[in-house]
Amino acid sequence: MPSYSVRRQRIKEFKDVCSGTSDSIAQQVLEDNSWNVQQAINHFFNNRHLYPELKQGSKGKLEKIWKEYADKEDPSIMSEQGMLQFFKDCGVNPESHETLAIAWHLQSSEMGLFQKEEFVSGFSKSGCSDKKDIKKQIGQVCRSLSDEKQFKEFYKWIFHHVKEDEKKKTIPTELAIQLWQIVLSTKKHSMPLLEGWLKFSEKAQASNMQVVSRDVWEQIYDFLRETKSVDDYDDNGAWPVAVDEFVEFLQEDKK
Amino acid sequence: MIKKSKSKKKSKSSKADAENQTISLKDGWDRIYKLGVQPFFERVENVDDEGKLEQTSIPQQQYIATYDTIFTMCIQREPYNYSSPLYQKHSEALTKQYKEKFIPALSKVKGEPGVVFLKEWVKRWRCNKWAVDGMTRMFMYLDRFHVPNSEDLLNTSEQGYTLYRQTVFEQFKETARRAILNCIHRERDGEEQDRDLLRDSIAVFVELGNKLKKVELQIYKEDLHQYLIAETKQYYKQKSRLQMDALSCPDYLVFAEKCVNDELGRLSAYIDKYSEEGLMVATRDEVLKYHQDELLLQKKSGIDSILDRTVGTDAQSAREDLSRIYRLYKEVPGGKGKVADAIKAHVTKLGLGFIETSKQSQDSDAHKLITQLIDLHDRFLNIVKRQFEEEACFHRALKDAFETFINKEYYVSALLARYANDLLKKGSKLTSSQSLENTMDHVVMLYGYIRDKDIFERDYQMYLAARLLQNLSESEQSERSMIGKLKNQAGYHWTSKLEDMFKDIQRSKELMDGFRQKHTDFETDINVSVCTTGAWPDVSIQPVKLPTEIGRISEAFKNFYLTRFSGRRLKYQMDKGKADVSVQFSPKTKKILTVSTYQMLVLLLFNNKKTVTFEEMVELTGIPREDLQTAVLSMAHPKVKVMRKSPNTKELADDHKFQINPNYSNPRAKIPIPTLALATKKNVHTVDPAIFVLRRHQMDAAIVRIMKARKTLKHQELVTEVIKQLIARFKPKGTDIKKRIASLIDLEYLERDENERDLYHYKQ
Repeated sequence: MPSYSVRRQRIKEFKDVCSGTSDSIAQQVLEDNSWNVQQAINHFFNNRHLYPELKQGSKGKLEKIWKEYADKEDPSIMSEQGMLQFFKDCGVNPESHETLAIAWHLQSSEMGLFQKEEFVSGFSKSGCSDKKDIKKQIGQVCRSLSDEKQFKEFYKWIFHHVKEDEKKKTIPTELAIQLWQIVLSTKKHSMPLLEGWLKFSEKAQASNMQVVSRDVWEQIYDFLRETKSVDDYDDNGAWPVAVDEFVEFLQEDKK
Repeated sequence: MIKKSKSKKKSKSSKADAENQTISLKDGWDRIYKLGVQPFFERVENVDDEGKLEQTSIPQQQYIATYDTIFTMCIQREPYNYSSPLYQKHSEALTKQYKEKFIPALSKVKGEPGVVFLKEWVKRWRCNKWAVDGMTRMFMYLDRFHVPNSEDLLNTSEQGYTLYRQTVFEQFKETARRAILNCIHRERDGEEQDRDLLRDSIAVFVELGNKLKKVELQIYKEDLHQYLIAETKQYYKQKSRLQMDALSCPDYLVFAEKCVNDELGRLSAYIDKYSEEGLMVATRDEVLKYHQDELLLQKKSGIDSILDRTVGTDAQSAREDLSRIYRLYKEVPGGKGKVADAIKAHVTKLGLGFIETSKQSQDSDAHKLITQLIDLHDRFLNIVKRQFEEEACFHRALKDAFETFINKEYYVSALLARYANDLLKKGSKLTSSQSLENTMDHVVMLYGYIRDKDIFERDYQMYLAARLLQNLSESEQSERSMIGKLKNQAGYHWTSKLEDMFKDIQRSKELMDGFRQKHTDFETDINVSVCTTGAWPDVSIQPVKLPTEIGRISEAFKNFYLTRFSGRRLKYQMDKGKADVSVQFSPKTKKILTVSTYQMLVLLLFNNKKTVTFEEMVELTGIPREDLQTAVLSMAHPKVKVMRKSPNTKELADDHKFQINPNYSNPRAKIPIPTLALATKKNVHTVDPAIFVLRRHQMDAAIVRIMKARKTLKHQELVTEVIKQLIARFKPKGTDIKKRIASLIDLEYLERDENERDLYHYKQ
């Protein structure tokens, strides 16, 4: 535990960024994150809902904002136009993973869609009342993804989000490939085997890997991060069978 | 003390001496020498070939006088105590004798042929023994007091032999040795030698050593044994090389055995036991060990050819060759193992060959392979039992060989099960020259070698079910005997199911008796076999529709059964039964047909309609299409002609029509109608995919069981445990286990640890 003066310093830093938080909350969050300020900030922004004692954003105001984006026929969901506008207002690239980051923040239950309830209560819990707040909040969320821990949470959540149905155990490989391309592109430089994996998945989706299970989804992330080259591979490791087959594929390719 | 017991005259004089006169050294020694030592030596010189001294040793009186003189001279008071000089004189006397008599005698014959020299060598030793022993007797008093009280003095006996060694032995030992080894060489070459002489010559080396404390066998070892061994090695190295080049393997083995036996003979006849190990090891090394590979493996007449010969007309001599190999090589370190390896390789090669041919031929004689394997097993089992005396390493070689090739192809399991079925069926023609029991033993042993036991077990159970239900067994006793043998091999778990099957059949018989007594008023007679689910092979039950003709009695039995055993469920299975159906083909023709129960159902349809289409049959009977097709087509077949079909083609479509053939004729009154085999011959060589499903379940069950008990386990350990648990049934592959683990993770039975990727937790 750092010294008293260092702690006070960090609490001040935290409160500067996370306006509206009390000393005790700042201390709590910092403690939960080993007194690492940046980590604490990331955690806080992505888990605002854990601190309900903070000032919530005005639901009324948010509902008004919602009307701008809502679909005329069914106002409980956002229209296509509305979504594009929404992304523009947030300063988010509609082609990138940032749209998914928003869904994550709002804990959207439906893929590719924003629902009114989730929009309003989600932003309210994060203390947003106007577009400015929303933009700042989204910015924070995206920035927080550079934190490894947060990114992994995000990545794992995507699987559930895309699966939609609790009872289902898998997602179609075709979809998984698209997601990997969008989501992991930012990590490309630290995942030299990503290209190979995508190629393999394209090939395998017709035969031995028609669907992707949660285990494969999660494990492949670790695998691509840890394994820089095929020579590193330990075939006695507990990687899923898909990974074994991927390695075989790479070795075949090499020849 | 002697003086008291002797004649008065003598004692008086010695007493007088002792009392009155001190004996001087010169006088004393003079008397001793002239009275005792010299005559004694002369006698010794004249010892005859038998080794017996003429008559007696020196006359009693002389002996006593000598002894007394020595005694007196030793007890005289200083400075007249002559113990020490007397000790010296003793040594000098012996040495003088050696120099004057022994050495010249030996030198004289040194250049003579070995046998002559050895005779003198042996004689001199004999003489020496007398000489030293005699001197010791005379000078015994020195041993009593003087020697113990002095430092570094050997007793007179040891002193004497030491002198002999230094003076005589050392000088001539090489000559003796060369002579001995030369004789042995000639004997090995076939020339008869004087074994007694050799024995005595060699004994010199041993006895001399034994007379000397702290020396014992050292002399023999250094001066003879090591040369003997070296000689032996050299000799056999050359000779065996010559014979290897000249002789075939079996002949060489005979030669080798002779060498070994010769050396053993030599050992017992004249070579000291100390050399036994060294000599035999040297012989076996040179004759057997160093040539083993070349002899057995490379020679055309080597072990492979000998093993091949065990099937031909030359079998007896081949078996003798094998016995000889065993006898000889079991004494050679590592020899046995190599022979076992060679046999294993041979058997494996033969087995693989049989399997290859069977794979390529795909012929209909499915028993050919199994018969070949059984014969192979029988032949080599006998060889292991008789020629190799049931030694463990040979049993193991046979086992390893079989396990290697029998598991090359999946289908061997299935073939073996089918063979067993045909063996136990009625009218079995399979029992070859061996008795049925013997053949069953072999089948069970082959089963023991199989890794994928579950395939065999499933098939065997299915065949047994068919035999029991259709009463096809040759004899209940053989069936039970076979189960007993399987139980010994496989354990209780699976065989208990087979026994349950038997019990079911037994109980069914009793039930039928009870039923028939109660219900006598039915037109049709029924015989039901009640099978307990779980014991019998899994067959899904097709719900067929029972027509009225048989419906009543079937219901009656069902009720009868359920009243006896309430709380049970009974379902009829119509695919395996037989029926006798009385068919009125035409007003004049009425026959009884023995058909399958499916065929019966089809025939009964015609009680209600004259013409029935195939589609209608499917609907009305509820029989699965494929089975129905077989049943119907076999009755409509031109060779059978029970039914007629329109259109009259081999193919079958839903709208094809069938009728009972009014023109049917057959001389017999009761005709069995076969169910023709399916047109597509099932490939004998593929595995039933149902086996793989079963295995998946077993792996899942094992994984869950293990994780439930251990709660947390690393990937590698889990895999090892699963294999351990299932190996008695089949060998699971690592990738398959991984797939099952992945599936169980998806089903949320297991989960990975958050931090350690290869750690699994059991989910409660």
